[in-house]
Amino acid sequence: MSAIGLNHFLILATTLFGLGIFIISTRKNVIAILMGIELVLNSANINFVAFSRYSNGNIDGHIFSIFVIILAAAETVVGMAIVLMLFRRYKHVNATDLDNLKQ
Amino acid sequence: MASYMMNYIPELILIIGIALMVLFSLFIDNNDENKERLLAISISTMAIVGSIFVLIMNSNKHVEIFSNFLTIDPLATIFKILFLSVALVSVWFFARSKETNQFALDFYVQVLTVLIGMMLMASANNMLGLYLGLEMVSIPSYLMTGWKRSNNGPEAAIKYTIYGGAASGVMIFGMSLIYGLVGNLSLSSIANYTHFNSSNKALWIISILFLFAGFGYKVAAAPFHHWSPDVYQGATTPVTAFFSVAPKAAGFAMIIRFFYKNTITTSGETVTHVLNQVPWTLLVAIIAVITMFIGNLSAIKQTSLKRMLAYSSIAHAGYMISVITVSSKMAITSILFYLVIYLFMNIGAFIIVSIVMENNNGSDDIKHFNGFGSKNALLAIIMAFFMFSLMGVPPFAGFIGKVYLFTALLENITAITVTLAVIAIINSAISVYYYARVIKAMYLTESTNDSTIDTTIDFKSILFIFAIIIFVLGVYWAPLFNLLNKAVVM
Repeated sequence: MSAIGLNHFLILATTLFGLGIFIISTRKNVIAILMGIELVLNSANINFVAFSRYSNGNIDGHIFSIFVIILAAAETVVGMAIVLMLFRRYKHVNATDLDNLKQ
Repeated sequence: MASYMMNYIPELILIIGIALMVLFSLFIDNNDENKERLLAISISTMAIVGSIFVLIMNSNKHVEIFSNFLTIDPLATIFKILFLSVALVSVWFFARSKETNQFALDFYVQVLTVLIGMMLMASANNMLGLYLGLEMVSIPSYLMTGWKRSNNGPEAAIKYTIYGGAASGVMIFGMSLIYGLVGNLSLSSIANYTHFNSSNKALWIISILFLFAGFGYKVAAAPFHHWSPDVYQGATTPVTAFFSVAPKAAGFAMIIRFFYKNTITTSGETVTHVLNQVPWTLLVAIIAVITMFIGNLSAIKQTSLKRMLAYSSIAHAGYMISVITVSSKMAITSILFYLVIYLFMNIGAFIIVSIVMENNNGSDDIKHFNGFGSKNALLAIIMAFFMFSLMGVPPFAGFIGKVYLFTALLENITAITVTLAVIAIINSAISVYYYARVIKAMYLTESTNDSTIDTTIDFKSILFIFAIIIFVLGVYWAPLFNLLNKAVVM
């Protein structure tokens, strides 16, 4: 067994990114799609922290990931507020049924 | 200390404006919405005007502040003045349009927040700054889209949120890869990256592709454009007018910052940038071609005028993106010049659409333009001016803007630029069809109902001024072009 290094984290982050994109493109429920976005953001966070720890030694990556966490929280709050508004209006949160704006 | 602070006074004024709005609203009686709205409009107008004034006073500054986090240079200043001018017109439009004039104080707080985000995008010298700016623009934009809960606002807002969140997530994944390669977040160190070789070329291409998800989303370039027609149609018209110009310009500011950093010296020569070793011009060219075709071909079949203008703005973004492939001073100047002209013609067109919608129970169908020419000759002729200018017909400003874009494109003749120029000209020809459809409806089709279309004097005078500007810039553009050309020093 080799020690855990940069590559392990990169593989984890890439897998998480792929799963996030998969969820965003296949799920019908808007809340599940927002959770997929969260996965994509966190995969980038893992990348940043891993690069910062293993290859560069500067803390830029850590700072970036803290900002990403803060902004992800803000985005989720706004997203959930909009989901609530959507539910009050349409009584469902199903992304595929939201097609009033098509021609 | 005071002189150091002068560099970020414009942003500070906007922040103080937000703080004052929130603070004063506490002292106003809760039921007195009109007073609160009046306060919000006057404070945001004063903050924006003050900010423009300070920017003009310090327009020749060229400094880096906050440990190279932000660059304050003439290019950033020009972009900031552009955003603030759009916001100034928009605040008037928000206050006067029947669709948005009941929006309370917190709406104007969002407008100023978006402005600060766009100013950050224009002067960021760091990937963290670009990301922060992008999110500061996006998150309040989602709220502004869904502000009106009736109609299709909520649906447009959730689509915007999902696309925006996914695009910025993909973009920061690309940024994390670049951080891994370069070891630094600053754009200057990316430009001066020296360890480029064939083994990490693939990684560079992937990261640039991922970054373009974020950039392309902000300027509404295909294949990241799907949010734009729905958001433009679902949001209230003044909000759409604001979105169609300001955040798009901010997206271009961001692209220019990223791809041109340190590539152009004061004397105008081009130096080698790491990205020049990556075939990113080909990627950008492909995106530009898809964007132009999707924008123009989808606009043809639209009957909702807001949706048609959304696709038209995608097409205009395509023309400007095709110029990004040329790394020259002329390219940046022509994009800036086009954005200034685009501001007047696009916001003007949206103002007229909102007037027609107000007189037809809020429907923006093209059939309500039937017989507009006989109902209100002045407004119809102004709308025809805007449509001709968007088409790019002389002697209107849109023509000169396109001439400069194509000149910049053909400065260095390569296979890519010639193909792009030919495709852009074909697309301009396609675009004539759907703009002409509006003119045909206004003048050649009889109206089916006898409703009148009229508006107040301030709408008329602003539209009149816009039409004059479109016409004057079409015949006497040199002063504006030289002013912008002088500002492009990086």
